[in-house]
Amino acid sequence: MPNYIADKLGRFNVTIVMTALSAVVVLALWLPGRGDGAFISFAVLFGITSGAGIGLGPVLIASISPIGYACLRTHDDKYLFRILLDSTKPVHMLRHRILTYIYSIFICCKSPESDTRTDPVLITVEQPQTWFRKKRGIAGSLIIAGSSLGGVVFPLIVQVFAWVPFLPWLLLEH
Amino acid sequence: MGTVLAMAAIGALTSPPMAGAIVAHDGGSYTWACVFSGLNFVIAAAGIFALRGRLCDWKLWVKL
Repeated sequence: MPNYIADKLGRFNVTIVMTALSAVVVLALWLPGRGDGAFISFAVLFGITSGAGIGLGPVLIASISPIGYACLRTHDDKYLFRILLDSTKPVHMLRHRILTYIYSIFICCKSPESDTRTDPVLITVEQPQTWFRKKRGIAGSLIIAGSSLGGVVFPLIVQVFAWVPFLPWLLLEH
Repeated sequence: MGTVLAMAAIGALTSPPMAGAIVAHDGGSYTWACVFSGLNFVIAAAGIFALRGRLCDWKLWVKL
């Protein structure tokens, strides 16, 4: 809901208000809170306020980055990357290369020369930002909500399939 | 985007151990960990406010 309002009233405006409200909820509700009612209220309110901040974060970054200016309705990564290269300074390119190298070593184990957009998190977060413009806020919130739901569902799925040989070892849960 | 997420990763990595250390130092009480959390939100709000101010020349009533 805050992200929907953010598309109407301004994403930076809503993010500032929601982040400040998060501080208020933590310091004024959690800190002096006693009893179940206070903590349940805190959980609900903090979920709304902090969730808005988390969901709007990538949206704000896209708004002030070359990705936001490109804003092309295309799924052609190579074309999009060429646009990004053209719109960034050499120092930005160097920084991007270093980050890509780190990602390729620690996350995807791909060659840094093969593809610049190797990090699945980056692809998941970036791609919708290049697709949506007017409703980028609500789109970003749905992505984060889906990611959070995955965090809830995944452990349940793992429990069901715990009998599969080597699965716990693969998930480093032993 | 990658740069911001890389910087955010530093905070995401270090904050939980810091909060845990604060709780342990406070004898299991969450009071100062709560203050730590609240202050981080205050700093975050101030940072976003400063960024917004730079982007719109400190005009308050602008849709941004």
